[in-house]
Amino acid sequence: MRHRLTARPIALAGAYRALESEGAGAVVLFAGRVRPDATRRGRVEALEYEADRSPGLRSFQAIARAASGKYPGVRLLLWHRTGVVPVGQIAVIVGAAAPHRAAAFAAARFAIERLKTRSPIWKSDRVRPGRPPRPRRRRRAGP
Amino acid sequence: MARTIRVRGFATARVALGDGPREIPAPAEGLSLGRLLDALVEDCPGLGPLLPSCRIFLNEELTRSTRTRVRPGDEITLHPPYSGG
Repeated sequence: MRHRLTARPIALAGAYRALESEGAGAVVLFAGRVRPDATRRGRVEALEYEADRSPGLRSFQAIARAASGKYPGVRLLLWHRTGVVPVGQIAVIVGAAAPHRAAAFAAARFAIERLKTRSPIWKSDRVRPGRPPRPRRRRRAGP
Repeated sequence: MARTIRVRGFATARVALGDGPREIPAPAEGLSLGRLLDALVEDCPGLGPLLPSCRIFLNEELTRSTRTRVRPGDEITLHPPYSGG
């Protein structure tokens, strides 16, 4: 499926298979993973995503249409997790297939940036309580 | 027949609504979106500061005017700024 909002894990291999075609000389895949960031409340152990499903899928289709208008010949794939996504797992996959690499790279970048601002998806962090990270010391200027 | 307008929120707007959808009583002829939002904020004061940055959907279509007429049976959805990816 080209666009998905799913509570199940998503994997690059499946995304690649979904985009493969004879005419696709270039396939670019971007995976956004959950990082174990340190926050004031502790270390992030998971992110929880919620989405407004129907407008969310429509926004993915609109992003794909905009990308193929801007980069003719490009096919786009947008997959996003919902629910709790632990550190290290993939939260989002954006794929772009095109005859040549320049359009595939540009379309993938275009799509992930649009998704972040136009798709009704929200994240909140789940942290393991602990000591806050130490503030970094400023280095003094050398002699 | 429904005599209420259902309001759903996501993320911070969901929390401000009390962690679930709200059913707002409405007259049969409906009311403006602006009046509905005023009533909501009176009920859920935490929503006030969030509303200016929310996108508002009426029956899953984005609406930009507070003059839009909302009728019993309609659904309003509040979208705070997105943060996916």
